[in-house]
Amino acid sequence: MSPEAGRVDLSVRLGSLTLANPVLCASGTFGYGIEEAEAARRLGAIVTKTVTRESRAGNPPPRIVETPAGMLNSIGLQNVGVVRFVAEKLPALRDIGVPIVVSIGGRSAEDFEAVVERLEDAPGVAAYEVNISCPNVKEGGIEFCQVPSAAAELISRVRKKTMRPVWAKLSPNVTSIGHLGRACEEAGADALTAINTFVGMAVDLERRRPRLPGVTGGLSGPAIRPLALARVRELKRNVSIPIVGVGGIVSGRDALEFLLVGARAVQVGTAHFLRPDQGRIVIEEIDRFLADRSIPSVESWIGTLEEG
Amino acid sequence: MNPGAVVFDGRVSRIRRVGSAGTLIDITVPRGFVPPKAGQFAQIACGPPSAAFRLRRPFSICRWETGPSGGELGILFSVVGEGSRWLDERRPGDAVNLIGPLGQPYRPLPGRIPILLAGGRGVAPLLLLAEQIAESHPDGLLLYGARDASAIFPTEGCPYPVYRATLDGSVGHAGTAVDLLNAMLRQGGVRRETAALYGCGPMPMLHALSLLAAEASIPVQVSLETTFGCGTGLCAGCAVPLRAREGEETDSFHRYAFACTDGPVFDGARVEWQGIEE
Repeated sequence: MSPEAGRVDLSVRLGSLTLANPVLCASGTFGYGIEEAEAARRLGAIVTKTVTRESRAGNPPPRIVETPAGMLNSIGLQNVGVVRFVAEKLPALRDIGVPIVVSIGGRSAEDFEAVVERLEDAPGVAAYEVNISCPNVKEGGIEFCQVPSAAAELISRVRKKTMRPVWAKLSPNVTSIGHLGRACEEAGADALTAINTFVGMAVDLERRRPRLPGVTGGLSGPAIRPLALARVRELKRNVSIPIVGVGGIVSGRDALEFLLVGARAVQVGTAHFLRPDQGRIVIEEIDRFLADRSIPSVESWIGTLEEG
Repeated sequence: MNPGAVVFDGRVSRIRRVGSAGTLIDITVPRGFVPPKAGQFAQIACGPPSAAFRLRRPFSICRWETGPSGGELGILFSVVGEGSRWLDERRPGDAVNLIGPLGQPYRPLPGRIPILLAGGRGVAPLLLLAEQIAESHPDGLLLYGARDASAIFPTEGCPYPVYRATLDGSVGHAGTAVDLLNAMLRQGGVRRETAALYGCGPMPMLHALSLLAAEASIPVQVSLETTFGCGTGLCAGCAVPLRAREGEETDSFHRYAFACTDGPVFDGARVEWQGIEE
């Protein structure tokens, strides 16, 4: 350990929130946030798996396919529904003592509004992350992102339901993520989470069939990191609200790339499948990297990329 | 509150070939690794830490010995892909990173005679089960089916009598372990009134076993192998379709259980086999 490690100020401001460090978990890669409570305690914030108005069964198996430097998933937002989430998961989440960002999903704008209404009565929610980018559900997923005006309409309706921060989680499977991000900003989003998974596919040569029953799935893991980084840069040039960077982050150095490009926080996703406490490792590596270079704070690193 | 899974650095103590297609690897693990119950598994990082991204692989634990500074677990496996090939290439002294023990074990039913049914490398958790319940259930049997003689792993040390079956009939009963069970039920070697079935093997075998158990009204527990993302309950990838219990009210969320945290051992009567790709 360098003598200065542990003295770096890791805290970041994210709109009205101040987080103890910039490392969050990505929705859907860390359960409800209570399965690995020790690991969760170290995060800057916990982002839950997506919660919907009614419970959802999710998609038939198999749901996972390993691919080069990553994996495809087609979970289909399996979750207990917002009523049971509030009753059974939220109390234990609050006990962890880390800001809670609830990822919300739905088939229609009314669904999203109903989820927020139910959560508004519950204490201890720091922000909502609006999942308008799931590639694995038939309705209410990625199509919200296909037309920026549709995304904007949804975000503005959620915005009207709450004083809490509203983050929009964006899909990379769009013509211009810059336009999409700007539409969400204008609709009242407080931050953008970029990006959700890329639509991908794998086939079984022997059986001549898709390896996922739904044919396509969402690609995550290190394979998408450079793609995600370029999307974050594009957003940075188009919006002024904070960006939470996500896509293939495994190490502290990976996270520092996103922060350098301008993300104010990052989410660790698929890497949690290798180690439930990978977020802690990323935080420690960020601390060490900055300490070794006598950089006093994460804030003084964010957005300092020099181009051209 | 669940504190979560713990990651351990283990070390290979022995590795040897068994049969024509099997490898038995013994890994010493430090203190803190909770002694596994039969049916539980370990998630092994099958590659060096610096390697390109590779998901951990789940392996059933077939042997456990508590030692002065931790313990030693045994894994019995065949090479089926890149992950198991990496593990097969380990040598004594090599480091192996693992999480475990994970999952819900077999739940031995008191007062019933355990009939263990293994298909191929599915014998692994049943060897540990036999060892762990032999004292409380001394009258058990192991019915062990494999493709042919060369695919049978050694079962010496198993406290139960072992009856073998091979698909080509080269050793023991000609057919599967489930065919053998069927024959023994007919001949009275296994009595439905007193038996409890514990299975592990390929999905079609476990499906057939569960059907036979339902017909004969024998309780059955099966250990299912599915594709895992994490093995620790985070990813929701290892979905197993279940039927609702009679009279039980469930919401749609409960149509799918997770093999890693709700299983891998399930009540065979509750598995919705039609929803599983075999």
